[in-house]
Amino acid sequence: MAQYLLTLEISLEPLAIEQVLQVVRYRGFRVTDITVAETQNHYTMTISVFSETSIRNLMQQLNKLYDVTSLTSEMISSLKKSA
Amino acid sequence: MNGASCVLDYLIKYQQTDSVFGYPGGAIMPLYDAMLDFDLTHYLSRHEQGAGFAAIGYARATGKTGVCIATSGPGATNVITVLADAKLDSVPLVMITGQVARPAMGSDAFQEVDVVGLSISVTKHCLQVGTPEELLPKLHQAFEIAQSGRPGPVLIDIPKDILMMDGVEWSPPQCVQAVIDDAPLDDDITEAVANINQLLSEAEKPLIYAGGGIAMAEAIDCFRAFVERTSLPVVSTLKGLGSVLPNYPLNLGMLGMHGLSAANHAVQTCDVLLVIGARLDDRATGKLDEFAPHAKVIHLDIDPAEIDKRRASIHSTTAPLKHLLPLLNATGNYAQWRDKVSTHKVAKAYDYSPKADISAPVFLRQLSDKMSLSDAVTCDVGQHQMWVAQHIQFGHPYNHLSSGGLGTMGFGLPAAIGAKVARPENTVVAVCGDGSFMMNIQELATLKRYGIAVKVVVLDNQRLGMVKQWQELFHEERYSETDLSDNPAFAEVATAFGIASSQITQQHQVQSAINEMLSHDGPFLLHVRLDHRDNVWPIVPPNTANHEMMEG
Repeated sequence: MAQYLLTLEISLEPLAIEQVLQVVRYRGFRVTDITVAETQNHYTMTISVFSETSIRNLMQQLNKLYDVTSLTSEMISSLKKSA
Repeated sequence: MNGASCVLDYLIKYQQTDSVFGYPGGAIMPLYDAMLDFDLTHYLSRHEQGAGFAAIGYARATGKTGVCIATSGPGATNVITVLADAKLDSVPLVMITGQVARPAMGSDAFQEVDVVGLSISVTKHCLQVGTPEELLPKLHQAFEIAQSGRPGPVLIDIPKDILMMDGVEWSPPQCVQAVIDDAPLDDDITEAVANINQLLSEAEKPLIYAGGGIAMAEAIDCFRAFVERTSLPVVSTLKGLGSVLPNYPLNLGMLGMHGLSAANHAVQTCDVLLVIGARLDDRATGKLDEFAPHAKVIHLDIDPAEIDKRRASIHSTTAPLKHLLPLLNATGNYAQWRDKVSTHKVAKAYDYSPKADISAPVFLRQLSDKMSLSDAVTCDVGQHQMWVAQHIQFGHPYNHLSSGGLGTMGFGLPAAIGAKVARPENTVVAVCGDGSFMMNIQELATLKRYGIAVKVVVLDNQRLGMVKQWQELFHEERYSETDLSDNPAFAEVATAFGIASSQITQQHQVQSAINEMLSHDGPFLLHVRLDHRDNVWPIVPPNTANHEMMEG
């Protein structure tokens, strides 16, 4: 189990924010914090997510969205299950 | 020229679209009005889902992009299943929906539904045209996205007032993005190719796992050349059937839940599994933890999100198969392995000896023997779908149109309409189940209206057969809502639609009935009564390894 911070740049398309959130939910990640800001020519979005599954899967799926122009992730915390 | 005319002008000039499938209604009326002035053939279905599946059939039978048109509200909601089907089977499809005029949007207007919101999760991408200036660029983007990389459905929603708007400076699309399939190979591929070739050559029991992505990458010829120079055994997914020709001795057939014994055992014993254009879905792999337990996996697929998604690979690349496959080779000594899989294939070959009653496998093999390898078969979903996959011989994946990922009942008849429109020179047979057929039976009217010579076979066991089979095998014979013994007389139904038909109940009638159907000039329906006790074998029980199959 781990928590990650995703930072995305997204085209200024009305649907783009919904598309990102749909992928995050469908691929099994729980949103714990979110911010969206409109800048000159795009949205900047940060999402903290929590999941037991690989962040790689989510990153690959988000990368397929046409309105996501940049995407990075960093691990915030990792919780190891006790034996 | 108004917005609607620009859409049609674009379809004809930029996409060389010759046929579209759809159903009119209020918000899309300007587009239908403009159609009267353009040289574009529109096929009117009797339900939007029928139009959508026809567009999918057109696309899957040719590799071209299918185009479907529906109105707002219920027209749009009726195509949601179509979009999901195209998404899961990676079909290039552009769905054009009319929307209420912009001043009415967001007011719960008559026939207003948030179709882009609804379609986010079932499309590769969805777009709504917000201004007249966006119309052509977004339409162009819809086609580019549908066709590029891993294909898929794109929905474009166009408000009625934009379709009606005159006097706008409609600019043609600016640049055409390079389609990913045609992108040149980068330097990284050299090392990947060397690694793959080394692993294949060092293997003792290598096996090719052929998926639907091979045909979609237009790589069938170079795939067959690769198979020929390596003489490796091949198993196919449902969508990969036809990638190798039926007469290739080491064509082991379909793997998976209803895969052939030789195919499943080869996967479970191979030491290197070369997965090409496939996503290793659950119906193919069986219990994932025990899938191909001795194999190092090499995964070739254009979609990076599929690599390592369900099974970790040793080597992988997303390079275009057309460029990649000619570079691959396998030079080990596999004689023993070839003998082993070949012996298993022969030992488990299906016995097509006819009995008094009609059996679906025997019927389908007789049908297949009467067809050319360039002809096409569509099907619905259920037992008959698996019998089609097991017993019809396919010359190309474009000739086998089956709803694989979504498993949509009612797919077969409208998909056959699209396939026949696209390829009038080929025989197209829709093999339907009695349950599935009723889900889009209204499309018989489309066959009649245009005289589309689709041959419809209704395999009727008066049951929802696959669900019944599961109830029998895995639910202690507790049959719940799977009895369809009050089915209508399908041949009489066809007659009422103005379509020639016949019915058979005994094996001795089969050959002449198939001959009559195939030689009939025009659409034809053949109603075939089956014993409801027949099941599909083999079957791998759910959450079980593929080699632990039940064989009847």
